[in-house]
Amino acid sequence: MNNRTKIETKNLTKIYEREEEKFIGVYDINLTINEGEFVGILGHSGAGKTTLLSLMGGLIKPTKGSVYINNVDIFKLDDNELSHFRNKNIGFIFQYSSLIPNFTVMENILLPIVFSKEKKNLREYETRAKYFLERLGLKGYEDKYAYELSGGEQRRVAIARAFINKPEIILADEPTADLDEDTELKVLKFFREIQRKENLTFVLVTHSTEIVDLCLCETVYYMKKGRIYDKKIIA
Amino acid sequence: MIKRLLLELSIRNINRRKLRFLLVFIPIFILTFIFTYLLVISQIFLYSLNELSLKIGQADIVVVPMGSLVENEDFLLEGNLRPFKLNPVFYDKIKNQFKDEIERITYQIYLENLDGIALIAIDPRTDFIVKPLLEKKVELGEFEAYVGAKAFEKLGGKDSVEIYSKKFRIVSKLKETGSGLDYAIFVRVDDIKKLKDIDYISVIYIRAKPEVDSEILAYKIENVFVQVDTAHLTKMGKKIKKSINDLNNILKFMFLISIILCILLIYNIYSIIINERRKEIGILKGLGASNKDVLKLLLLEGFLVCSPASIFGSVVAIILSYLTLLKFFKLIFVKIPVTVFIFVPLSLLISITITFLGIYITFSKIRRFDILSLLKSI
Repeated sequence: MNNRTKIETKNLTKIYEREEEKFIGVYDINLTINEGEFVGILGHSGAGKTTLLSLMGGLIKPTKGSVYINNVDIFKLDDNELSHFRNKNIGFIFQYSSLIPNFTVMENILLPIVFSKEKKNLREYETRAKYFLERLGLKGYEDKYAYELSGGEQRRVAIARAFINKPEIILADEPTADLDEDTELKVLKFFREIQRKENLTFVLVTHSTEIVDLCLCETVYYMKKGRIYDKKIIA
Repeated sequence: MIKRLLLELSIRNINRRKLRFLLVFIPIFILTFIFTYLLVISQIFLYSLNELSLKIGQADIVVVPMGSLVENEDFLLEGNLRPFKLNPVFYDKIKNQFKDEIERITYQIYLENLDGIALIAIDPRTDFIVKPLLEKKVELGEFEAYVGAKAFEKLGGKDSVEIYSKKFRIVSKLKETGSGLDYAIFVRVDDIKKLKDIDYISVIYIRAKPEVDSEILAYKIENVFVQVDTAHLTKMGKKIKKSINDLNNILKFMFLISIILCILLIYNIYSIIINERRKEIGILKGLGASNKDVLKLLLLEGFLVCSPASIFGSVVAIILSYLTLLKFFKLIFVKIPVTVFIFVPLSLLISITITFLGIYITFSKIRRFDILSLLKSI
């Protein structure tokens, strides 16, 4: 582990058990992601991409192995510590629809601030949220309720929310799945821009090689049946 | 703003699931209602009875014609006067035969019920029942009257009253006693006898000497004079207390059944509400909310629903228990002691405990799921 290492997984394995049957989620994954690196994880459905991303973010516990973020073994943290760690360091873009329908767009974006343990200047974050909304083509949507939005609009609000808390790491799971081509390009451009500006460590999971190319990922891991079978360093 | 967001999230969740939360509101309301009703009804009753006995407690024994005890109780407790007659010789006989045991003795004549106001004749020379209750200590002169507090209101605060076509000047008002005396006008026996032929008395009030057991004295009077019935005022209270205890026992049983049903209902409804919100819990946890934060949010919602339900339930219970005693049992002496309001926070505490326990148990099952499976929930 060098001093630029942001995320490191060691023998990371997740086995799911359903009705006495076992399924491999991910198996023996060892990878290192450096600070400020834009990483793509590419694979077909069922390859284990979401499981890997969820393990990196501590959303699920591994059957074996460990995940180090900033040299901290995140699975050694208790629920409180891990939640705080996640809130402070990681911005998630979930694959599944993840807005609270009866909250406005602004309130949904500010949710990570609600659970932050540090004192925050809310005005500053509101301005940041407005900037993200404008960049994502949702200017003036602040007071709309989440249930009033289309799938694509909800997706973009969830993207804005992932960046709000100034995290060091972004874990994005098929972030442009519900978007049309133009909006997709706009969002990917936004990712690249903010990633560079804030020196974010960005892990993007997708099944599309095109997205990996458009994002100008520096490193791409290829997954199949829960294993990484190839790694490509582009830049 | 941050705390406000959490509060708003709770309020909106309640608004979004109005029916579900109404199903929580109702059992909590019923639970606190029964709990408070049961406790308050006995508290109000005991307090009022104690107040009453302090106020008409100048006498230990009441003597009435045989079979008229109920009528007399009706008057003392409900203000409903139905005149009954006792031969005046019993007054002198009792006075003479038990002179060593009697400290004070007086009599009253129940004349009639004038539109809800009882007309009573007293002998001011011997009276020790009415005089101590006067607001203004004035001797009763010729064609003068004292009036009870409620009777005074009924008369519209007039300074005189016409009785048997004769004007009686009101010289003093009685303090409110919570007894039938509040609804009475008291005049002198001598004045009434000038207006009407009266050859009877109605009740004899006796105060026993301090060293005498008044209960035994009452028993002795009844044994010697079989034509009369005696009521020991403490005994009368005991009798009513027994009725209330019987009522309490029924209520206690109902309370037990209701509390069990309510707890089960609250627990089940929360199971449904929280299970429906798995995805939302997943989102919040994914964004950095700890189990503690989510639990805090759920408890806040529980508190927001259960507090008004509980306060509403206990306040309605206090009012209804008062009205039950006043209107259903027609006990005019009932008063709400300030202490019964302690049941409002007490029932709040109980309902909060039950609600929080229901939420905690349900949430403990949910917290075992990892965030990804919560997020995948529909």
